[in-house]
Amino acid sequence: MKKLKIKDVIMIALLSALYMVFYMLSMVIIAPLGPFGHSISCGICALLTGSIFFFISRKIGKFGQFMLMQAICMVLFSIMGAGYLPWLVTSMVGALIADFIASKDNNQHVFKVALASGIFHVGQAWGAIIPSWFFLDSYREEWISRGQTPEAMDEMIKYTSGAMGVVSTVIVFALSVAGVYLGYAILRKHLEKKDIAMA
Amino acid sequence: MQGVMLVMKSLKLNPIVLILINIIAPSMYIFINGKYLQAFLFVFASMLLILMKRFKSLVALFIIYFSMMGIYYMTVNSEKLQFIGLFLIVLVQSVPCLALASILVRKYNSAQLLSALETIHIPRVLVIAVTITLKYIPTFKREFSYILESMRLRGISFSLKHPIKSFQYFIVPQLFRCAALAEEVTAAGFVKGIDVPVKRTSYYEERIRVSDAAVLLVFVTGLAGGFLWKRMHL
Repeated sequence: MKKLKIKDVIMIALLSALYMVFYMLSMVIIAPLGPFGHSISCGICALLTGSIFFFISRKIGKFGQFMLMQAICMVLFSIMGAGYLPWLVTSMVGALIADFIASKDNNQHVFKVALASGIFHVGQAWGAIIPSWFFLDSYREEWISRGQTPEAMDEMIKYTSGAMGVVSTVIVFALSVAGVYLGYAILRKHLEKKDIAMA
Repeated sequence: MQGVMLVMKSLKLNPIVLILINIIAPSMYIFINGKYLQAFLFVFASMLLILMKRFKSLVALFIIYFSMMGIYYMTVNSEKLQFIGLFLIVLVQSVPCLALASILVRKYNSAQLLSALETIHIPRVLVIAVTITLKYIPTFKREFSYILESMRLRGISFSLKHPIKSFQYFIVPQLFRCAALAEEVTAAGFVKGIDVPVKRTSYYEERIRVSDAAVLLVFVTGLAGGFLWKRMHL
């Protein structure tokens, strides 16, 4: 398995910056959807950043690429004052699985990249869904103490707990897969033939 | 008073102090009353911005914070618009931390950030990556204007009728620009010995100074006040 070189790290850092810009943009886009939009915001972000994901898999294609990208995002969110431990854990686990799925080389099938993106972003979404399933009371109390109103928190939990948590997961996964296929459609004529031979 | 402010030297802080404050502050919401912590962080960030003479950031902090709070109070009782207020009230808690993060991005150069981050013993790969990402995010406005300019010269425009095509015009040049930039930044990094597996020294040796300790002391005292306040109101 090839290790990430300095050039790869720098490219991931630059693409992570682009990813963060889209993440913030997706937060603005989902605002009118209210709590439901919040629960699927990772999916909206994934739809917009599927091309970044596909580009990384073709231009780098080394184990650790998605973990590094996720770690950069998590450190930046922490520096911006938005860190949340369960989110960090589920996101990093999702990124690790994504690396196992699609980081063997830079010629992975587009379906594998889409699957990796799905797991990567479901990992992010589970930062809110897992606490709603297993630690509901402490999750609710923490966000109320962070300034959220009890009514808004109950509304949010409605879309992340129980069956709605499963629905949100499925939507995030589907949007992530669609994002990578969109990225593939956009980039295939711009990347060299060998890069897309397997796709 | 204004004269004193102008004569007073700008406060110099080790960037690691700002990073630590931003990492610790949000996790304190579990232990401290949310309203107290939010008010404390707002005052604390404002004072730091004044002492560091970041007056534009201070004005931006006030405008953004009070606009968001204003919209919250205007919409929270309306059934149709309530979602806007409820969305903003979650975001507003991050605004003081974002103001401090903006100092990190604008005031310190990459060498200063690298030097500071290396003192907290996180993996070097992550230090390099986070530093580059932090410095690159603010440049996107300029990058986007370059793309718009080249589109204008080619007679291409964004159109909501063709969203995918328009998105493609933006994302493709940006992705390949990142790839080209990665080559340049890597070459510059190699010249500066970024890949050498020894502890690097820096022209900007960031040490913890008295001013850093004083700021941390005020921060910790504020948090301790929050603990006491919560205990008194239990």
